[in-house]
Amino acid sequence: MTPLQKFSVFVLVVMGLAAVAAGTLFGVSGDPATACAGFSLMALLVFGRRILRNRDGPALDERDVSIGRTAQLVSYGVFWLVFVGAFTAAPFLLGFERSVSLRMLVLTPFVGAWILLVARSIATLLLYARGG
Amino acid sequence: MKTRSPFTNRIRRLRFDHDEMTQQELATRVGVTRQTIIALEANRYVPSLLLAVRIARTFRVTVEEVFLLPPDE
Repeated sequence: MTPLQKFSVFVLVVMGLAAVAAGTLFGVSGDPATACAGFSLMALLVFGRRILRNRDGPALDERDVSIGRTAQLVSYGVFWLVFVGAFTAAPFLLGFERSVSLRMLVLTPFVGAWILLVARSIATLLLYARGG
Repeated sequence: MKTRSPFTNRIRRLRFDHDEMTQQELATRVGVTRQTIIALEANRYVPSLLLAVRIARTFRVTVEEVFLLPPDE
C-alpha cells in the first residue's frame, strides 16, 4: 500500500467514527447542534500526517499525485451532486414555505466536509484499484 | 474495470538482466514508490516522459528499448 492509500483508509476510519459519534449524539439528544460534537472527531485527521511518510523513498510520486488530483475532481463532483443538489432540491420537494432551524444549519459545514473527504478517499482507493 | 496501458514494457526483463535488481532498488533510483514500478510492470500505468527516460537511463538503454508500442496503436 502506498502512503496515500494508507492515508485514505485512515480518513475513512476517522469519518466512520465521526459519523457514528454524531449519529449517536443526535439519537440520544435529538438535537442536531449536539451532533456537531461527534463531528469534532474529524480533528483526528491531523494525526494522518505521520502516515504520509515513506522511509524507502518519496512519499508521493507522479502516479500518486495524478491519482490525488483525479480523486479531488471526483470528490468535488460528488459534493456538488449530493450537497448542493440536496439544498437546491429541498424546497421543491418539501415546499418553499418550510423553514430550516439554525440548529440544523450549524451541521451543514460538517456534513459538507464529511461528504467531500469520504468521496475523495473512496475515489482514491478505487483509482488505485483500477491501476491509476 | 482495470485500465491497461497501450504500451508493453521490458522493465521486469531488464531488472533481471541487471543483477536481478529489485523493484525497490529501481524505484529508489528513479525516484518513485515500489507500487508505481509494480503498476508499470503490470502495464497498468503509463509513465511520464521524465520517468520513462529515468528508467531507460538506469538500464543504459533507449526509451524505445524499454517501452514498446504495438504498430497498430
